[in-house]
Amino acid sequence: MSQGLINILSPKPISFSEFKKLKEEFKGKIKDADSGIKALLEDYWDVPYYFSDDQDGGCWSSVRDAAHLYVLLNYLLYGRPGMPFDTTKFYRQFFEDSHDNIKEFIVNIAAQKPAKLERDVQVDLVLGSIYKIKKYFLENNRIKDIRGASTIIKYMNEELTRQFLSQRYIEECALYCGGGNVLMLLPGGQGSEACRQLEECFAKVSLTAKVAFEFISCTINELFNDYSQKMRALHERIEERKKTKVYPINPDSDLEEIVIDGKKIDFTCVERINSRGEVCRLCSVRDAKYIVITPEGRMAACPSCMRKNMVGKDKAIFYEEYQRVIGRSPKWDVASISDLKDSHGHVAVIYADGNNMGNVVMNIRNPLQNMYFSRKVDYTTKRCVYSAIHKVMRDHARFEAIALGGDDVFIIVPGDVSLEIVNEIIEGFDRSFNYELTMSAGICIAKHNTPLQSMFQVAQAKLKSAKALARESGVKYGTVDVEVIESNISVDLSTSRWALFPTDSLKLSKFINVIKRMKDTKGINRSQLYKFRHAARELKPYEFQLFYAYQTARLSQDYSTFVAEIFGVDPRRFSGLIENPNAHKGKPFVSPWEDIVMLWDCVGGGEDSVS
Amino acid sequence: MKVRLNFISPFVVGGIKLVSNYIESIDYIPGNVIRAALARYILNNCHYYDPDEVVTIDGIQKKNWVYFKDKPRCSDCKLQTLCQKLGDIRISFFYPKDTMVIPSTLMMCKMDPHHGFVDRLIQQPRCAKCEGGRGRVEFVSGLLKDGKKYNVVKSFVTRTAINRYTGTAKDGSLYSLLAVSATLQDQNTGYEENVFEGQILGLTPQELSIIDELRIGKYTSVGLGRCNVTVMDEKMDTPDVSKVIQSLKEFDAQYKRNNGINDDGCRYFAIKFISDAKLDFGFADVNEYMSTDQYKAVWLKALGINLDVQVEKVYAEVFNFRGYDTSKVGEDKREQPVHMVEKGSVIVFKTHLAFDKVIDYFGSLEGFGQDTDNGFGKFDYHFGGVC
Repeated sequence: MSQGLINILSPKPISFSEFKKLKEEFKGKIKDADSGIKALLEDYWDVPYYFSDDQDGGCWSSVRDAAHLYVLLNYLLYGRPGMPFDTTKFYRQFFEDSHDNIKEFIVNIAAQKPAKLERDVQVDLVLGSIYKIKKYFLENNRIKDIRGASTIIKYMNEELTRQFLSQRYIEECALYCGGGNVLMLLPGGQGSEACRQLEECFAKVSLTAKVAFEFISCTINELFNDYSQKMRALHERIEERKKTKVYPINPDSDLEEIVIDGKKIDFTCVERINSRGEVCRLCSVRDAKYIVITPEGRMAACPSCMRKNMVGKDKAIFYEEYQRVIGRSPKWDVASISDLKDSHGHVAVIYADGNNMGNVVMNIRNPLQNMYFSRKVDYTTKRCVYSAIHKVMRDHARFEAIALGGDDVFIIVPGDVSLEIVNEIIEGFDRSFNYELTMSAGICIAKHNTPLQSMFQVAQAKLKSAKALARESGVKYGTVDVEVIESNISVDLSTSRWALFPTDSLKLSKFINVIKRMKDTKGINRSQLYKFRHAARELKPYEFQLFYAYQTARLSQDYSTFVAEIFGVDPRRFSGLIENPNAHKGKPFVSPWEDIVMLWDCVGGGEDSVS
Repeated sequence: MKVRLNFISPFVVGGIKLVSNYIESIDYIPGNVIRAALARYILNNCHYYDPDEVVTIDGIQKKNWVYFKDKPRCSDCKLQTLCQKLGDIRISFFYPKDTMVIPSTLMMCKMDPHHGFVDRLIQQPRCAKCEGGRGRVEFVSGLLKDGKKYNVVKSFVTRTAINRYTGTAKDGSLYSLLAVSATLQDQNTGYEENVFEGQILGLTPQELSIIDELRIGKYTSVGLGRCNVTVMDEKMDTPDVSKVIQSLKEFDAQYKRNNGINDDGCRYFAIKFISDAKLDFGFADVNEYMSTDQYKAVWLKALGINLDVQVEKVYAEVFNFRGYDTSKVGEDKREQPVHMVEKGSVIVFKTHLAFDKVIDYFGSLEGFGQDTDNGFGKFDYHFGGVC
């Protein structure tokens, strides 16, 4: 395994003396703690665990993961489903200096050496996935309903799964749960029933979210020594289930309330419709059974939309998370998409994810790496997004996060700060993984009343082209592509109409910086930029170059200086157009003025700046 | 007969109204949309059209219903035969010219789309053309043209609704349409065309040629969806049965090899939906757990296949669809929701029967599910890969 991969799949090494100090500190903390050890361990998720000062290998597990796995293996070997199991005792035992064969097993697994437990048992590896999540979120354009859907997904993924495990097994059975995926290791023979119960449980709460759980059986030794192959087989099973499963059209359940993060959401108080045949006005497909109160008045809603609506009224999970990470709350409470518009009425959908993640996952050799990697990606992504929003908008932060988990970013921000925010997110993410992993993003900027579903589709297509640039050019940095939706334009998402985009984050940084300086330069006039754009569209290249030379001689040479800087050409040789590197495929020149005019309003600064 | 629709204005078809002022079109035209356009054409030219007339069809009251009224001026009406035959003609889905539906088993290289496709049924899910032969692949869907993934060109059109009483712009009623504007666009020459092709059975070219200009889809009153109709080919190709059997055998061998199956007694074959299919899975509101094998049995039942075959694998996308029936009397124009199996879905069957028996049976089917007269549920054999 390359050093780069090791850095991604295991915590940064520390000196053994430093580790010993931390271990003693932790032992002191857990001395009197009863059941809170697990929570205390969360602070040590990025600290490597050394079983001895001469431990081999460059790939260590984190303190949290090694301790979790130790407890889990003890449970699988000595515990019984439905019977009490003292996890605290085994956590304490783990931190004692004594050695046992389970610790030895974990050491070998972490060092990627052959590992064998003397007493091997059958286990069931269960994988669950909430898929087509965006379809579940985006059944209508109401931010509170989308927020509700997002909260329900997170609740099922985390709280509900943990509740399920703690009631029947132990919570440590979850190798990871987050970002729409759940992976758990259960005692042998439990897989089938667990899959059934979890699918039923998830369906009862969300009603229309698509969920599939599958499992494979093997022994502990087989699983840990052939982890990639077992995971591949499990993925194939779940893929088959996803493609085969059919969902009811009008699902309902007798669920009366859910408690999310300690807050009770009561569904019994919602008014019911007595008449039949009315269509839900929120999803426009299912039969309505309830009346929900919205800013537009009373609306007939199906059970699924009613739940999203009720949950979204009360919970805004990403605001709470933002506050925890940044230390202050976003200033604006966003009630609708129009609350996010900039002074030009624009909002931006940002859709981003990590590049080459599948390749890293393919190289994961054991559950410890899986546990660490999924948490690290999730933590890094969230921190980068929140920090970027805070850095660009400071105390005026207003945003809406629709999906933020794993390496997935789907957020809405005002149009005029979108490019800067994306740039900050990508830079932060790339830096955190030391450029071994990078992030690409697609942005769709449009009027605030454009439906989110359509903006998301455009952003998705732009993410694809940004990723293609990352792959084809082999750039070291994350990449971005953007589309601005105006009235009466043709949208061909397979080709780019920009001279600059898709581009990498380094060039985007430069673009933002230059546009900001242009806005602050007196000699640069916005109306002239429109004139150049129009002329470049209408005139033949040599005609335009003559026109441009005349205009800049008359007005200012600053235009050439700035534009040449953006595109990295010699300002003395810049004649208003950029040479097309793919000239053999089409025109010999491309116009830089399209990019500048369209994105002028998408970069803050200058007199038009929005605060 | 093969029919070509040459659009002279953008069109909006089957779009779901996402918010009150915004509609996006889909990139293909279902047969029922063409039938509705023909009906509208007939009604607009009918001497006896009465917008308030209500007729009862199968016990349901309908408005704007086309039926042959057999009145004095009907005998010399140029649309007489079209009017008489409208209920009996069969119309397929119309797709952009020279495109085909991508089967849902196809995967594409994540690193380089030019590496071509891998079919999950007969090949391992990795790109052999990537360095080391283990490149990652991902599922693709949509349409294919010249071996490449294809998208139509869509345009945003913003319009103001008109207040029909004052004849002026209706207050606060700007709406946007994302319409299909071209199937081919040449950036260099500026050449554009918007051409869709499909089939209409049960009419002669002469009967269809009476139509000078058809208006298809929504917002036809503001100029959208105008097209010329031309008949391309009167005769339909009939497939050579021996060639089909040969292709089925080849697929069977490849499928078995790829999946490590050593059972000569069993045969495997696959079908691909070349249009959306409205299937009745028999459950509308029951959220009951079923194993993957139980779901396969549900699929077999929903397909209504009366032959000794089993569903081996399903590669399907199913969504819930609730359309509009503008012929309904009253305010509520919504239809009942249905399970819609998306075009491109592939189903693999396992059987002990010989392939000629399979071909006999499947050849006798018009399609699967409801509304096959309007092109829903049409299928082809899938022999693996791009075929």
